[in-house]
Amino acid sequence: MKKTIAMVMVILLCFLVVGCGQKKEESSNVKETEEQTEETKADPKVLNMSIFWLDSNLEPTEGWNGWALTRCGIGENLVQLDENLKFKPVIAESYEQIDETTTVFNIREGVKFHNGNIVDAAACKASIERALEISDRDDVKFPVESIIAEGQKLTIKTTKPYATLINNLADTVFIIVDTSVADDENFKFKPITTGAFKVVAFNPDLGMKLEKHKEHWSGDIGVDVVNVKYIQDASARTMALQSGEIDFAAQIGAKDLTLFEGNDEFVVQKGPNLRVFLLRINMDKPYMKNLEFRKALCYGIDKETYATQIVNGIPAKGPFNDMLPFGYKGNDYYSYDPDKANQLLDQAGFIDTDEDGIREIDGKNIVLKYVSRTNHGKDANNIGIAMQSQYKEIGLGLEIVQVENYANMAKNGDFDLLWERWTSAPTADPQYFIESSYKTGSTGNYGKYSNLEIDRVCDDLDSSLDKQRRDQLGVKGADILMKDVATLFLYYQEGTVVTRKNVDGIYRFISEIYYIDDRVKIK
Amino acid sequence: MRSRKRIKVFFIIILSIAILSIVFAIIAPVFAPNDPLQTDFVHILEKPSEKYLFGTDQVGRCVYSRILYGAKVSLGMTFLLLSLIFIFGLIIGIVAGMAGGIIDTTIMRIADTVLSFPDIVFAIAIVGILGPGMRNTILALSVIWWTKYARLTRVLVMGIKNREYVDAAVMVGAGKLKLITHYILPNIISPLIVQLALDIGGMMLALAGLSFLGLGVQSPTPEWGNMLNEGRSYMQTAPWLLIYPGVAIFIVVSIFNILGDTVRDLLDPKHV
Amino acid sequence: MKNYLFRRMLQLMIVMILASFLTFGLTYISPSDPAEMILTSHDIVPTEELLEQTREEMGLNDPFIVQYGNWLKNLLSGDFGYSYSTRGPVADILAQRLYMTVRLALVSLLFLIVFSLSLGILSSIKKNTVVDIMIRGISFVGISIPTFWLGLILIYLFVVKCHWFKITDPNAIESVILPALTLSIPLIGRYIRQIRAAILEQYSQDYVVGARARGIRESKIIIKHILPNALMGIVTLLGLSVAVLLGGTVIVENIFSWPGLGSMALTAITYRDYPLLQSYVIFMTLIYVSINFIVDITIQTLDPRVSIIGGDMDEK
Repeated sequence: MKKTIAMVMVILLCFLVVGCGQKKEESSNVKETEEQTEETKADPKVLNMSIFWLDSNLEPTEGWNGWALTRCGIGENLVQLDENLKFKPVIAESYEQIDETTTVFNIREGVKFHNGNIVDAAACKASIERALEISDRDDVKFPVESIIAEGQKLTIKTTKPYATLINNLADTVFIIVDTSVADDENFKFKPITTGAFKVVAFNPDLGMKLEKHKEHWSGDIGVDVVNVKYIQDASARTMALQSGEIDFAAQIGAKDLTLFEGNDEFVVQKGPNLRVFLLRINMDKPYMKNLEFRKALCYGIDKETYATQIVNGIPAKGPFNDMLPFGYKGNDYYSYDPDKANQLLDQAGFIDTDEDGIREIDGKNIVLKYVSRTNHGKDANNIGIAMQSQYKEIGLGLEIVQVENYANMAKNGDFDLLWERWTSAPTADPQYFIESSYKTGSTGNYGKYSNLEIDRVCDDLDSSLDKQRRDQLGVKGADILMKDVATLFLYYQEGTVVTRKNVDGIYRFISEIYYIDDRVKIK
Repeated sequence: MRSRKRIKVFFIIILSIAILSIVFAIIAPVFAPNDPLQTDFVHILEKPSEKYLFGTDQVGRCVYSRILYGAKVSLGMTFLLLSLIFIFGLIIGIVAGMAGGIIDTTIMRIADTVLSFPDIVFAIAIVGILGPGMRNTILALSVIWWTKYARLTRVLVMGIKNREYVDAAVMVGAGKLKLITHYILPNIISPLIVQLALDIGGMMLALAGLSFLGLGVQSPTPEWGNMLNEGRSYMQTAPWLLIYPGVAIFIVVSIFNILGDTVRDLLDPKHV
Repeated sequence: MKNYLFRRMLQLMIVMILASFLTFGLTYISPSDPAEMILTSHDIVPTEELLEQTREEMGLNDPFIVQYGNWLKNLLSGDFGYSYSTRGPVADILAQRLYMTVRLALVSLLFLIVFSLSLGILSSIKKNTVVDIMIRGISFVGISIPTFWLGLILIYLFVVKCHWFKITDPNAIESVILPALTLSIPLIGRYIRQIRAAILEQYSQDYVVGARARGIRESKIIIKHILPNALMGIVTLLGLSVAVLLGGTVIVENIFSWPGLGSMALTAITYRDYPLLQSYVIFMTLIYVSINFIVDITIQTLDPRVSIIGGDMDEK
């Protein structure tokens, strides 16, 4: 017996020694980082938040990297879209369109970069010019005639009337950065911008540590330190919220949301965002050319169930959801009605002659190919599975493939239904989506859709500057696409934001480009 | 120490259980109350009930039926993989052992090299590059694991190749093939069977693991690892998606692990 | 010895060259086009001219052997290329990830040694008692339980329900415990058996029987004779378990969102990020063969009679 005890003691001792050694190393690590982060107050207000996407660096002119900056209140633009998709002057106090090609911005007094440098029109000009020069995002660049900076007044002149200038300037690419230090090697990891928080540590795998910007133009910020944790997996975010490791998470899974709703510890905000999920129809297939057939495809699916039961969303009617000024507010043209679908298919001559349950065309069973990309994830697959069994009811086969070489298949037209995920109006304008996806011959038009009316809408959008007119054209375009079943619009994603009740001043932005800003507070 | 007789009895019992589970897997469709692919939108993520014994998944499919069908897929894949590496390894091993010389050296060099790769890492790489799927998974694991059997077979063949009865057989003019099937095989088969039996559980876990990572069996085909992968996002709200497939894997792997141990005790008594 | 060392070194090099060749070859014959991958990963719609241009830039139009040569040359000079998905240099990503994986593996190894040794010894001392039967039960469960399932259950119990451990902060000490445990449990299960068997074998050895007959205290026998032999076994096991550990990290890192090499490999697969995946395989193979090399040398030096762990342990 003694031996056993002795043995156990020895083992425990080993454990302790190793354990303590580890701990020491850990705590010294912590100390190090704390030393770096200048003086922390006796009781700093700390916000732990999660983000679900982080790029390898924070250089806003590179792709969509700037989203991390706007989401965490680090970077600001001249003008931004607020939580309700309305323009909100930020670094610019106000702006005015003088004529078709000229816009004047009045830069707010007292805006300072994280390093204390003053933000004036010249600094903004330098930042915008830098973005125009080095960014790889050609879709948001605009044709500049001149940018003139005088004191706090910034005048941007475009070479031709440019309707979406403000929209483009609100893109993360045009976050105002201090160009005087932008060549610094560390700039892309600790960018110098103007937002409520500045980056003190960045790790592309783990997240960021932020501290409040003491000289922010809005005054004192209600949070001292923000730990931004990069958690890709939605269920991991849920668990981290539950275990108290984070106070804020966005994009929580539909089912998991029920864990927080009705719980006093948490505040849940949800509602549609700008994402639309759709199935592009390949118009090259003989049966797809038939409008009745396409209508039947639409009648055959129960979007309501898919949206509410399978994914976290709201059934979609068209490409733009009704929060957008050009969103469609009426009823779905062809809502779930399998009898109607069967009837249409019968009438159109797609008959199941060999009685195997699947209708034929030219003696061959109609089996539709449903293609999504592996990283579209489980939702794409689950909806496919659901559609497979619903199309069986109307005598159509469905083959679900989730592949890596999606782009290739899309390009070669090797699909009947192609799963796509779009932020259909990232800058609150309809042209980009309609034109790139449905205009005859455009690059993103993998379904080879061709409709004179749509082409005409695109041409009109090209020449229309007036916002209202553009919105009308957007409504018209979307209506054509819906009526003609150019695509099966499945659902709009529901954006969710869950916070612990001690966090205040969090708004759910429809655009999902922002999570926290200068309004955030810890109670 | 267990007596041989008791081991034998135990072996018969556990073997019957194992065979029963295989038979059960094959005829699983008979027991399945529902179509494993049929979705039921009225019952999405529902608790176990009379209609759905183990509840339903995220698209309303019957978890119980999927587990039954999954048994077929899981066991089928495992035995396919096993027979592939066993047959391939056996042939290569016999060739190397009988031929000797340069052929032997070459084969064994290759086997040694393959064996010095970290197996699962390589399997992941192969599947990752060639594309996920059942076929590529089995291919990847066979490419790595045949070496084990080839080496073992070769050692065994070398051990008996020069025994008198083999020489005698050669003397009376037995052909190469007859030599192998009549004299070599019967004498080397039992250690190989022991190894095979010991490996089943581990292979099943490896295959399920790859499916869990999304590299093996693809949905909607029901397979246990794959089901766990799909169910893990609902861990908190629908724990039955996690519990039942996990228990299924655990039980079946346990059965084959016990079988493996017993076979070894039986055929390789010095190990006890 | 010298000769042996040289032979092993040579073998190590051959393995590495073969591994690099295989990795590259696999990518080469893979169904997808790296040029297209790189374009789509940059959100560019690949047009035919663009693809052709990119292929030319990436050297994809060169013959296989030239491409392989270039790749190997870069690899040897420390240039692992650029990741398709993050666009950053692969070497940077690897460095960060490697640290995390090594950390995880080391803690697992610690668990492995401590638990398998203590339980194995305990089990053999208390042979055929309740303790022994319980430990053997644990060991059996450890072998048969799927790691991915175990990990999920541990998370559910200890993170969600009890809040004992964290999952979002891999740098915190308590974060490493659950993943390391998950990673080591199947191995612990296996090694408890091996150690138990090995010790029991020692017990029946003449010298132990003799020592006992001479009236030497049991504890002394254990410490002087049994333990050193059991430790030898552990060294052998360490080498053998490295492959399992490295393979296991992929699953464990995936479950615990651990930012190591394993989860990197999975992301790389999803994005078809070949440069990343290739470096992963090369690195893992290098680690594996080096550790085995060291273990072999250690065993050779310590005890040329070699291992006490026989039977089915030679591989795996």
